[in-house]
Amino acid sequence: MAPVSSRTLRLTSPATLLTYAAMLAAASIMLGPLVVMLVTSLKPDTLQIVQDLGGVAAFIPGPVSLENYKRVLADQQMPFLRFLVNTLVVVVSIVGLGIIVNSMAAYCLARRRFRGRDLLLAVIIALIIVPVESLAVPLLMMVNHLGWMDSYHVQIVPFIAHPFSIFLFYQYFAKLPKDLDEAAAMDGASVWRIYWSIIMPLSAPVIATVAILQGLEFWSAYLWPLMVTRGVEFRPLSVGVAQFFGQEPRQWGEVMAFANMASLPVIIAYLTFQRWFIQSVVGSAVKG
Amino acid sequence: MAPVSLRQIRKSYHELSVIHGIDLEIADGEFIVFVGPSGCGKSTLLRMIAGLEEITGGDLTIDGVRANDQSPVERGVAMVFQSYALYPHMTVRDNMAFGLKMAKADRTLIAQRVAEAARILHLERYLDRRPSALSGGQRQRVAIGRAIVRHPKVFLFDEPLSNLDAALRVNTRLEIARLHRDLGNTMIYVTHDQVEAMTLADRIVVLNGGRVEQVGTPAELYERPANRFVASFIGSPAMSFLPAQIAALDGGRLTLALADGRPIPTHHRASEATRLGDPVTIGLRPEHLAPDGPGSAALPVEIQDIEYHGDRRFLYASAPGANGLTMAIPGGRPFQVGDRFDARFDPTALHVFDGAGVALPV
Ligand SMILES: Nc1ncnc2c1ncn2[C@@H]1O[C@H](COP(=O)(O)OP(=O)(O)OP(=O)(O)O)[C@@H](O)[C@H]1O
Ligand SMILES: [Mg+2]
Repeated sequence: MAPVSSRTLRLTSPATLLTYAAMLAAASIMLGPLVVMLVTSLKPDTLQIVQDLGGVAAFIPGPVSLENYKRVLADQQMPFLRFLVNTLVVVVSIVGLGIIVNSMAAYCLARRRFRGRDLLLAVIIALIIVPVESLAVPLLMMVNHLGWMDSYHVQIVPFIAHPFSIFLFYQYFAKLPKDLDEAAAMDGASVWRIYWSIIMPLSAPVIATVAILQGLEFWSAYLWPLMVTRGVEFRPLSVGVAQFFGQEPRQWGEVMAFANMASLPVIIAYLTFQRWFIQSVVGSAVKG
Repeated sequence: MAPVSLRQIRKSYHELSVIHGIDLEIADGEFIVFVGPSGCGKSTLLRMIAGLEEITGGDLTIDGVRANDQSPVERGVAMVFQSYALYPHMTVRDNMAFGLKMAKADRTLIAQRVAEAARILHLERYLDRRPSALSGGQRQRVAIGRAIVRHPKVFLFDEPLSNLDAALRVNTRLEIARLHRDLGNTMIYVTHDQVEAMTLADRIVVLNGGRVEQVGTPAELYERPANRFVASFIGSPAMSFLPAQIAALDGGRLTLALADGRPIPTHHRASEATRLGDPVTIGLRPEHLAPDGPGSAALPVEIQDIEYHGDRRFLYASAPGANGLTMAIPGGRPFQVGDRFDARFDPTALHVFDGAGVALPV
């Protein structure tokens, strides 16, 4: 019974209470806008919404209606489903190809010995802190020159190689025992085969981490898609939301419904993978 | 099955030389053990034979073919790692089958080889388990099984028993010996445990600092160590050493003088460099020194420590000019720390090493 009583003790200690209070405050600040978004999207009456938005009423649900959602989905000028498909194509391609390319780069860095390896690794780590925004203009000139504007690949190709993903893979691979590679080499496996049949199957946690990080980053990417897409054909959700928001007169209920539907897939994905994600973040912290 | 030959094999990492030119002929079907202290280059040498480490210089020949530039598979060698290095995400069956799959062997052959290895190693019941669900000893057997299924010409082992507990180590040692008898392959085995070396080897290669100190059967190394290093490395408890001087060279036989001037006649001969008055070292095995043995020579000792080992006891004693002299005696007789007496030994059983540590000829 000792562990139980010590647990109760800790739950009621002032320090614990304070911690919980702080976490509660932080959670409300983060969840507040989400609640407003959800509540507002379910209110059918635009006038009512505008009145409510100024105060506490924004948090209080009125009669529930899916009218806003129906209208968003029916809107031909701002095709939500088109935006969604575009985002999915771009994000899934970046994540899928990114896992392969970045893990291969990291595997070479972690296992092969070649001249300039340390320098290359240092450069890649340094690249982590370079924001995409600072590269946007030269990159734009490049893709324009290539005639890639207004397409899927202009949103995908520049972002497959991802320094932070390479770094995470590198760290993970460096900790996998080298004996495994050597045993497989003794078994006659090629470098490619070792990577594919031994290393990658053992890397599920880091693959999940990288997929979530890179996926989230490009789910919400805004500047670049705005620069390289013209019509709605290849435009992703993030740009779509802003465009939808910019319409006059502003239909708050529909804006919120749109935003809700745009966030939902991310929240679902995150909740599904969060256990892995936390595991691997904690794991790398403890081992590192 | 294949002979393996090493000629002037060298290894350096950049400027740092770690293996300094090793010559060794390993016969077909021989069980060779590389033994030596930590860092002496045992693993490096084994890994060069395996094909995991590039050979800086010299020729490696396996089964009559120069193997320096061949891949491990082309060489026909299989290796058991100290860490076992089982693939954690594969079942025991898949672990053992992986090598054959890489060789594109057909399914029936794979199934047959895996079944054969499982039978030899008593792994039938575990074929569908993952390595994480096995004990250390079972993992070790899977690692051996992974080597067996490929029917290699040469088996390589790098300290395969060092992660097992004492009882299991003895068991597995016997299993490896039995495996060698049954399969008859050439086996090269690395260990720093001289008991493993003595019990398993047809011939032992004693390495020190990247050089071969001596190659020979366990009995040769034990009875006629070529130098002081081999003498102290082989045998447990280790050989005891006493400082002495060359007192006389009568008729080719040496007479030595102990630190207290006491003369010891030996049947050793002088080497060319030996001079009267040269300092030498006498080596005595624990079983050759006894409180009241039949030996004709006497050595005054004082007991410093006593170790009880059930069937026998080890007495650690000091003598003039020396400490830590070891005697192995049967149980029974009571001794106490501080006892003084004349220990006896047979002068023909002792070893004599010159100032450079090289054994003097008999
Ligand atoms: N990659 C490397 N770079 C530089 N030196 C190395 C490298 N690998 C091994 N060495 C050196 O080579 C020497 C022999 O190492 P090796 O691993 O063969 O020793 P060992 O006899 O197997 O020792 P142990 O019993 O501890 O396993 C050591 O001095 C080691 O420091
Ligand atoms: Mg070693």
